[in-house]
Amino acid sequence: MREPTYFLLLALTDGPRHGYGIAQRAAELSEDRVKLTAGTLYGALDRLVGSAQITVDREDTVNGRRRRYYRLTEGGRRALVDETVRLRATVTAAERLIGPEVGGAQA
Amino acid sequence: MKRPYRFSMRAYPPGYRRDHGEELIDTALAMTGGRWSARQSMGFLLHGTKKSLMTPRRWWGLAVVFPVAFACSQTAVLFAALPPEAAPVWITKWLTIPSLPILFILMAERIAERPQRWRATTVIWAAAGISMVGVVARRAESASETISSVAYYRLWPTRVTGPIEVHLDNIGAPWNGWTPAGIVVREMVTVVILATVTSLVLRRCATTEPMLAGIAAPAAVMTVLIIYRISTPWAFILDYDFFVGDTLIGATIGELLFFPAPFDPVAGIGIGIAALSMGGLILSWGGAIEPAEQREAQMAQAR
Repeated sequence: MREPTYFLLLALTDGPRHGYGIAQRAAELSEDRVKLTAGTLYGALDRLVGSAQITVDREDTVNGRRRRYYRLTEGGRRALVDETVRLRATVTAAERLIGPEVGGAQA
Repeated sequence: MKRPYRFSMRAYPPGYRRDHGEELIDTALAMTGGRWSARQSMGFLLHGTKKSLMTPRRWWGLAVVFPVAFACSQTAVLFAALPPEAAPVWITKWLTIPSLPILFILMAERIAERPQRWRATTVIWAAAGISMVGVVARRAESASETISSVAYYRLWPTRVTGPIEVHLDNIGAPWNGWTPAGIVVREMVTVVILATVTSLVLRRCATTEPMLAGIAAPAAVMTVLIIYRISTPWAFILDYDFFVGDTLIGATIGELLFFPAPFDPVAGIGIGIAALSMGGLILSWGGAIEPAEQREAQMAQAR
């Protein structure tokens, strides 16, 4: 799973959000590493809907602007958990080898 | 500020633009604080193009691929497998190869999306076909066909023999009672029959059975063309097979069955199978096409 996809899924863990809300939350969670354009964002959202990892929760209109809210599906949550486990295993392996250096960088 | 974004949104397929365009633009404006951003516009262009190419219902891409593939196969047959006496006839097929497949694919999409308007679509289809017959017939009689035939004759004089050689000296003259005008009228009538039959098949199964539609529609086209071929025998020995007879694989199969001499059977069968498979693939790729009304009803319900 690519980093933007991971953060898009992560952005939906605390409830449904619309496109812009997802982008904001993903940027916040990734400390601004994931900054998507609207085209990239909706491309990724369409792909995630297609793979049933997220779904359209509802649509509403605010100030004449149509918004779709997305929510995480069970499949999406499972994919997120699996990816997190994989990332943790990767970090654990890396820390065993370069732990002191990582610790130094964090400090 | 929406205008430049609307321009770059044109890269998206029309259906997607209609359903999501405004939302994407609003999101882009929210991301940039209401200002225009080249990065956002580039994002729309890149992702719209990608989506267009990957969306099966953006059929124009396939509509281009289809006749190009067909033209290549015809060219290969022309130089590799065709008996020499038929060469000038086949080289002129370049004129009309693209016309019918493009119409077929575009109309199939239209009928699948709006099945209840199939009559209007059929009229558009038939009118476009009739116009093409007129244009191609004019071009063929006046310049292109003569030029290509004569050029081929000059290039490979030993390959042009028999009735074709005689005909090259008498282009435009009637042959066995068939005048060019008579054949053009017959072509036009066939186009109308072709459009109606294919529309009916597509209307019946394009929305629910895409694979069946993909096979049944080209098969219907072939049947009409074969009947046309049988009922107009001598016209096709000459250069008068302007449009319908030239264009689709039905002509090839008809020729293979009833006029085996001017065409290589193996090549004919190969192209026939390729065309059928391609038709099936085109219509089945991406699954059934959802009629526009159904999609709009679902969206209304979701709202």
